[in-house]
Amino acid sequence: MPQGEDELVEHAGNGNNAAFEKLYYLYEKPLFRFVVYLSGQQYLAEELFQETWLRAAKHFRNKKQVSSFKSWLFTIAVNLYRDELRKSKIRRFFLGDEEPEPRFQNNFTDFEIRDELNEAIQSLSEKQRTVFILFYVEGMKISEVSQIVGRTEGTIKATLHQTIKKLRKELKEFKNG
Amino acid sequence: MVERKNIKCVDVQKEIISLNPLTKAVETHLQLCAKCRRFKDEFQSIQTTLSQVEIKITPTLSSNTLSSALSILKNGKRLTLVERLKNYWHSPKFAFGLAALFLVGFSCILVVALLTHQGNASNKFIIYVLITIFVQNLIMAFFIPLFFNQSNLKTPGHHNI
Repeated sequence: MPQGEDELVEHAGNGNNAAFEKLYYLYEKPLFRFVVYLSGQQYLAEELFQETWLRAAKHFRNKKQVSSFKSWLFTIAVNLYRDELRKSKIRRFFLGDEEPEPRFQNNFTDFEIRDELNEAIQSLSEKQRTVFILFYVEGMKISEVSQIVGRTEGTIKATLHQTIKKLRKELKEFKNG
Repeated sequence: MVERKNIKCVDVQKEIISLNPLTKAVETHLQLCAKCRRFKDEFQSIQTTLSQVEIKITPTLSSNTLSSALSILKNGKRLTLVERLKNYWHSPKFAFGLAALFLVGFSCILVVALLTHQGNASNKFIIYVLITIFVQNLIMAFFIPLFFNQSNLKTPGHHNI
Protein backbone atom coordinates (compact mmCIF):
# COMPACT_ATOMS: atom_id res chain seq x y z
CA MET A 1 0.00 0.00 0.00
CA PRO A 2 1.50 3.35 -0.98
CA GLN A 3 2.37 5.76 1.84
CA GLY A 4 4.11 8.93 0.57
CA GLU A 5 2.14 11.60 -1.23
CA ASP A 6 4.12 11.22 -4.44
CA GLU A 7 3.45 7.51 -4.40
CA LEU A 8 -0.22 8.10 -3.72
CA VAL A 9 -0.42 10.48 -6.67
CA GLU A 10 1.37 7.97 -8.89
CA HIS A 11 -0.96 5.14 -7.85
CA ALA A 12 -4.04 7.34 -8.22
CA GLY A 13 -2.78 8.22 -11.70
CA ASN A 14 -2.80 4.50 -12.43
CA GLY A 15 -6.45 4.28 -11.42
CA ASN A 16 -5.92 3.05 -7.85
CA ASN A 17 -9.07 3.93 -5.90
CA ALA A 18 -7.52 3.43 -2.47
CA ALA A 19 -4.71 5.86 -3.30
CA PHE A 20 -7.18 8.45 -4.57
CA GLU A 21 -9.27 8.02 -1.44
CA LYS A 22 -6.24 8.67 0.75
CA LEU A 23 -5.43 11.80 -1.22
CA TYR A 24 -9.02 12.88 -0.85
CA TYR A 25 -9.01 12.59 2.93
CA LEU A 26 -5.64 14.31 3.07
CA TYR A 27 -6.85 17.41 1.22
CA GLU A 28 -10.58 17.36 1.77
CA LYS A 29 -10.59 19.84 4.66
CA PRO A 30 -7.93 22.25 3.34
CA LEU A 31 -9.65 22.44 -0.03
CA PHE A 32 -13.08 22.99 1.46
CA ARG A 33 -11.76 25.68 3.81
CA PHE A 34 -10.09 27.35 0.85
CA VAL A 35 -13.20 27.46 -1.34
CA VAL A 36 -15.33 28.66 1.57
CA TYR A 37 -13.01 31.61 2.16
CA LEU A 38 -12.59 32.20 -1.54
CA SER A 39 -16.24 32.28 -2.54
CA GLY A 40 -17.82 33.35 0.74
CA GLN A 41 -20.97 31.64 -0.45
CA GLN A 42 -22.42 28.40 0.77
CA TYR A 43 -23.63 26.83 -2.47
CA LEU A 44 -20.76 28.06 -4.56
CA ALA A 45 -18.23 26.69 -2.06
CA GLU A 46 -19.82 23.27 -2.24
CA GLU A 47 -20.04 23.37 -6.02
CA LEU A 48 -16.40 24.34 -6.31
CA PHE A 49 -15.36 21.66 -3.84
CA GLN A 50 -17.21 18.89 -5.66
CA GLU A 51 -16.26 20.00 -9.14
CA THR A 52 -12.58 20.26 -8.19
CA TRP A 53 -12.50 16.65 -7.00
CA LEU A 54 -14.42 15.45 -10.05
CA ARG A 55 -11.93 17.21 -12.33
CA ALA A 56 -9.08 15.62 -10.39
CA ALA A 57 -10.66 12.19 -10.80
CA LYS A 58 -11.16 12.77 -14.54
CA HIS A 59 -7.52 13.76 -14.83
CA PHE A 60 -6.34 10.58 -13.11
CA ARG A 61 -8.80 8.54 -15.12
CA ASN A 62 -6.94 9.68 -18.23
CA LYS A 63 -3.71 8.29 -16.72
CA LYS A 64 -2.17 11.70 -16.41
CA GLN A 65 0.35 12.47 -13.69
CA VAL A 66 0.90 15.66 -11.67
CA SER A 67 4.07 16.90 -10.02
CA SER A 68 2.73 18.78 -6.99
CA PHE A 69 -0.71 17.47 -6.12
CA LYS A 70 -1.69 20.15 -3.62
CA SER A 71 -0.77 23.07 -5.86
CA TRP A 72 -2.43 21.39 -8.81
CA LEU A 73 -5.63 20.70 -6.86
CA PHE A 74 -5.87 24.28 -5.62
CA THR A 75 -5.15 25.58 -9.11
CA ILE A 76 -8.20 23.68 -10.38
CA ALA A 77 -10.32 25.31 -7.65
CA VAL A 78 -8.99 28.79 -8.45
CA ASN A 79 -9.66 28.32 -12.18
CA LEU A 80 -13.16 27.04 -11.52
CA TYR A 81 -13.84 30.03 -9.30
CA ARG A 82 -12.58 32.43 -11.97
CA ASP A 83 -14.82 30.71 -14.53
CA GLU A 84 -17.73 31.13 -12.16
CA LEU A 85 -16.96 34.84 -11.73
CA ARG A 86 -16.86 35.27 -15.50
CA LYS A 87 -20.18 33.46 -15.93
CA SER A 88 -21.65 35.54 -13.16
CA LYS A 89 -20.55 38.76 -14.91
CA ILE A 90 -22.16 37.58 -18.16
CA ARG A 91 -25.37 36.66 -16.32
CA ARG A 92 -25.43 40.10 -14.71
CA PHE A 93 -24.87 41.75 -18.05
CA PHE A 94 -27.76 39.97 -19.75
CA LEU A 95 -30.14 39.47 -16.87
CA GLY A 96 -29.43 42.56 -14.81
CA ASP A 97 -28.45 42.61 -11.15
CA GLU A 98 -28.84 39.27 -9.52
CA GLU A 99 -29.82 38.82 -5.93
CA PRO A 100 -26.48 38.32 -4.16
CA GLU A 101 -26.02 34.84 -2.74
CA PRO A 102 -26.11 34.66 1.04
CA ARG A 103 -22.73 34.85 2.69
CA PHE A 104 -21.81 31.71 4.52
CA GLN A 105 -21.97 33.16 8.03
CA ASN A 106 -25.73 33.44 7.58
CA ASN A 107 -26.21 29.84 6.61
CA PHE A 108 -23.27 27.81 7.79
CA THR A 109 -24.12 27.83 11.46
CA ASP A 110 -21.10 25.68 12.21
CA PHE A 111 -18.75 28.34 10.95
CA GLU A 112 -17.51 30.80 13.46
CA ILE A 113 -15.62 33.20 11.29
CA ARG A 114 -15.89 36.60 12.83
CA ASP A 115 -18.22 38.65 10.72
CA GLU A 116 -15.86 41.59 10.56
CA LEU A 117 -12.90 39.62 9.30
CA ASN A 118 -15.06 37.70 6.88
CA GLU A 119 -16.53 40.90 5.49
CA ALA A 120 -13.06 42.35 5.20
CA ILE A 121 -11.80 39.27 3.34
CA GLN A 122 -14.76 39.39 0.97
CA SER A 123 -14.03 43.05 0.25
CA LEU A 124 -10.69 42.06 -1.28
CA SER A 125 -10.31 41.55 -5.01
CA GLU A 126 -10.35 37.97 -6.29
CA LYS A 127 -6.58 38.00 -6.74
CA GLN A 128 -5.89 39.49 -3.32
CA ARG A 129 -8.27 37.06 -1.63
CA THR A 130 -6.76 34.03 -3.34
CA VAL A 131 -3.21 35.03 -2.46
CA PHE A 132 -4.14 35.90 1.12
CA ILE A 133 -5.95 32.62 1.78
CA LEU A 134 -3.32 30.44 0.18
CA PHE A 135 -0.51 32.08 2.12
CA TYR A 136 -2.04 32.78 5.52
CA VAL A 137 -4.82 30.22 5.84
CA GLU A 138 -3.35 27.31 3.90
CA GLY A 139 0.22 28.09 4.89
CA MET A 140 1.61 27.69 1.39
CA LYS A 141 4.99 28.99 0.35
CA ILE A 142 5.29 32.09 -1.83
CA SER A 143 6.60 29.87 -4.65
CA GLU A 144 3.53 27.61 -4.41
CA VAL A 145 1.14 30.56 -4.35
CA SER A 146 2.96 32.01 -7.32
CA GLN A 147 2.52 28.74 -9.21
CA ILE A 148 -1.20 28.54 -8.44
CA VAL A 149 -2.04 32.15 -9.20
CA GLY A 150 0.26 32.34 -12.21
CA ARG A 151 2.16 35.45 -11.08
CA THR A 152 5.76 36.08 -10.14
CA GLU A 153 6.92 35.74 -6.54
CA GLY A 154 7.60 39.48 -6.42
CA THR A 155 4.02 40.20 -7.46
CA ILE A 156 2.73 37.81 -4.80
CA LYS A 157 4.76 39.58 -2.08
CA ALA A 158 3.50 42.97 -3.23
CA THR A 159 -0.07 41.66 -3.34
CA LEU A 160 0.24 40.33 0.20
CA HIS A 161 1.41 43.72 1.43
CA GLN A 162 -1.46 45.54 -0.33
CA THR A 163 -3.89 42.95 1.01
CA ILE A 164 -2.84 43.33 4.63
CA LYS A 165 -3.01 47.12 4.31
CA LYS A 166 -6.49 46.87 2.88
CA LEU A 167 -7.62 44.41 5.54
CA ARG A 168 -6.33 46.67 8.32
CA LYS A 169 -8.15 49.60 6.76
CA GLU A 170 -11.39 47.63 6.43
CA LEU A 171 -11.18 46.32 9.99
CA LYS A 172 -10.52 49.83 11.30
CA GLU A 173 -13.59 51.08 9.44
CA PHE A 174 -15.66 48.32 11.05
CA LYS A 175 -14.38 49.31 14.49
CA ASN A 176 -15.15 52.96 13.88
CA GLY A 177 -18.60 52.03 12.61
CA MET B 1 7.92 57.52 6.25
CA VAL B 2 9.94 56.73 9.39
CA GLU B 3 13.46 55.42 9.01
CA ARG B 4 15.10 53.50 11.83
CA LYS B 5 18.55 52.00 11.39
CA ASN B 6 18.32 52.39 7.60
CA ILE B 7 15.20 50.26 7.29
CA LYS B 8 12.04 51.82 5.96
CA CYS B 9 8.69 51.12 7.59
CA VAL B 10 7.36 49.60 4.39
CA ASP B 11 10.22 47.08 4.35
CA VAL B 12 9.69 46.22 8.01
CA GLN B 13 6.00 45.64 7.36
CA LYS B 14 6.82 43.44 4.38
CA GLU B 15 9.13 41.42 6.61
CA ILE B 16 6.41 41.04 9.23
CA ILE B 17 3.80 39.78 6.80
CA SER B 18 6.25 37.42 5.09
CA LEU B 19 6.14 35.30 8.29
CA ASN B 20 9.93 34.94 8.21
CA PRO B 21 11.76 35.11 11.54
CA LEU B 22 12.41 38.79 12.33
CA THR B 23 15.95 39.99 11.89
CA LYS B 24 17.80 42.00 14.53
CA ALA B 25 17.45 45.15 12.42
CA VAL B 26 13.70 44.72 12.13
CA GLU B 27 13.35 44.12 15.87
CA THR B 28 15.36 47.26 16.60
CA HIS B 29 13.16 49.20 14.23
CA LEU B 30 10.07 47.89 15.98
CA GLN B 31 11.34 49.06 19.35
CA LEU B 32 11.68 52.57 17.99
CA CYS B 33 8.68 52.81 15.67
CA ALA B 34 5.18 52.87 17.20
CA LYS B 35 3.53 52.76 13.78
CA CYS B 36 5.19 49.47 12.84
CA ARG B 37 4.51 48.01 16.30
CA ARG B 38 0.82 48.77 15.78
CA PHE B 39 1.00 47.19 12.34
CA LYS B 40 2.58 44.06 13.84
CA ASP B 41 -0.09 43.83 16.57
CA GLU B 42 -2.93 44.23 14.12
CA PHE B 43 -1.42 41.70 11.77
CA GLN B 44 -1.01 39.20 14.62
CA SER B 45 -4.61 39.79 15.62
CA ILE B 46 -5.76 38.86 12.09
CA GLN B 47 -3.58 35.76 12.19
CA THR B 48 -4.95 34.72 15.59
CA THR B 49 -8.52 35.09 14.37
CA LEU B 50 -7.79 33.04 11.28
CA SER B 51 -6.18 30.27 13.32
CA GLN B 52 -9.25 30.05 15.56
CA VAL B 53 -11.64 29.52 12.70
CA GLU B 54 -12.83 25.98 12.23
CA ILE B 55 -14.67 25.13 9.05
CA LYS B 56 -16.44 21.80 9.04
CA ILE B 57 -17.38 19.78 6.03
CA THR B 58 -20.67 17.92 6.28
CA PRO B 59 -20.53 14.11 6.07
CA THR B 60 -23.04 14.08 3.22
CA LEU B 61 -21.05 16.44 1.05
CA SER B 62 -17.88 14.56 1.84
CA SER B 63 -19.23 11.09 1.06
CA ASN B 64 -21.11 12.22 -2.06
CA THR B 65 -18.06 13.95 -3.48
CA LEU B 66 -15.80 11.01 -2.81
CA SER B 67 -18.18 8.43 -4.25
CA SER B 68 -18.76 10.53 -7.37
CA ALA B 69 -15.03 11.04 -7.84
CA LEU B 70 -14.29 7.33 -7.34
CA SER B 71 -17.02 6.50 -9.82
CA ILE B 72 -15.35 8.74 -12.40
CA LEU B 73 -11.97 7.19 -11.64
CA LYS B 74 -13.38 3.68 -12.04
CA ASN B 75 -15.99 4.02 -14.78
CA GLY B 76 -15.17 7.36 -16.36
CA LYS B 77 -18.59 8.72 -15.50
CA ARG B 78 -20.50 10.02 -12.53
CA LEU B 79 -22.66 7.83 -10.30
CA THR B 80 -25.56 5.97 -11.85
CA LEU B 81 -29.08 7.01 -10.94
CA VAL B 82 -29.52 4.14 -8.50
CA GLU B 83 -26.19 4.82 -6.79
CA ARG B 84 -27.01 8.52 -6.54
CA LEU B 85 -30.35 7.70 -4.98
CA LYS B 86 -28.66 5.35 -2.53
CA ASN B 87 -26.29 8.11 -1.46
CA TYR B 88 -29.09 10.60 -1.22
CA TRP B 89 -30.73 8.61 1.55
CA HIS B 90 -27.56 8.16 3.56
CA SER B 91 -27.67 8.03 7.35
CA PRO B 92 -27.13 11.81 7.85
CA LYS B 93 -30.62 12.11 6.39
CA PHE B 94 -32.02 10.23 9.37
CA ALA B 95 -33.43 13.37 10.97
CA PHE B 96 -34.96 14.40 7.67
CA GLY B 97 -36.47 10.91 7.31
CA LEU B 98 -38.01 11.06 10.78
CA ALA B 99 -39.50 14.46 10.07
CA ALA B 100 -40.93 13.20 6.78
CA LEU B 101 -42.35 10.14 8.54
CA PHE B 102 -43.99 12.37 11.11
CA LEU B 103 -45.54 14.53 8.38
CA VAL B 104 -46.80 11.49 6.50
CA GLY B 105 -48.31 10.08 9.70
CA PHE B 106 -49.90 13.39 10.56
CA SER B 107 -51.36 13.75 7.04
CA CYS B 108 -52.77 10.22 7.19
CA ILE B 109 -54.47 10.89 10.51
CA LEU B 110 -55.88 14.13 9.13
CA VAL B 111 -57.14 12.46 5.96
CA VAL B 112 -58.77 9.63 7.93
CA ALA B 113 -60.34 12.14 10.32
CA LEU B 114 -61.69 14.17 7.42
CA LEU B 115 -62.93 11.08 5.55
CA THR B 116 -65.14 10.21 8.48
CA HIS B 117 -66.82 13.59 8.01
CA GLN B 118 -66.67 13.78 4.24
CA GLY B 119 -70.28 14.73 3.69
CA ASN B 120 -69.15 18.32 3.90
CA ALA B 121 -67.94 19.73 0.53
CA SER B 122 -65.16 21.76 2.10
CA ASN B 123 -63.85 18.63 3.87
CA LYS B 124 -63.75 16.81 0.54
CA PHE B 125 -61.80 19.66 -0.97
CA ILE B 126 -59.28 19.62 1.90
CA ILE B 127 -58.83 15.86 1.47
CA TYR B 128 -58.09 16.24 -2.24
CA VAL B 129 -55.64 19.07 -1.59
CA LEU B 130 -53.84 17.08 1.11
CA ILE B 131 -53.60 13.97 -1.03
CA THR B 132 -52.33 16.02 -3.99
CA ILE B 133 -49.67 17.71 -1.86
CA PHE B 134 -48.67 14.40 -0.34
CA VAL B 135 -48.32 12.63 -3.69
CA GLN B 136 -46.52 15.60 -5.20
CA ASN B 137 -44.00 15.66 -2.34
CA LEU B 138 -43.51 11.94 -2.56
CA ILE B 139 -42.75 12.18 -6.27
CA MET B 140 -40.40 15.11 -5.72
CA ALA B 141 -38.56 13.36 -2.88
CA PHE B 142 -37.86 10.28 -4.97
CA PHE B 143 -37.31 11.79 -8.38
CA ILE B 144 -35.29 14.93 -7.71
CA PRO B 145 -32.13 12.95 -6.93
CA LEU B 146 -32.68 10.94 -10.10
CA PHE B 147 -32.90 13.88 -12.44
CA PHE B 148 -30.40 16.24 -10.89
CA ASN B 149 -26.81 15.74 -10.02
CA GLN B 150 -26.05 15.76 -6.30
CA SER B 151 -23.88 18.82 -6.70
CA ASN B 152 -26.86 20.77 -7.94
CA LEU B 153 -29.14 19.90 -5.07
CA LYS B 154 -29.83 22.87 -2.88
CA THR B 155 -31.96 21.34 -0.17
CA PRO B 156 -31.19 22.29 3.41
CA GLY B 157 -30.79 18.60 4.19
CA HIS B 158 -27.92 18.51 1.77
CA HIS B 159 -25.80 20.42 4.23
CA ASN B 160 -26.34 20.03 7.90
CA ILE B 161 -28.88 17.34 8.65
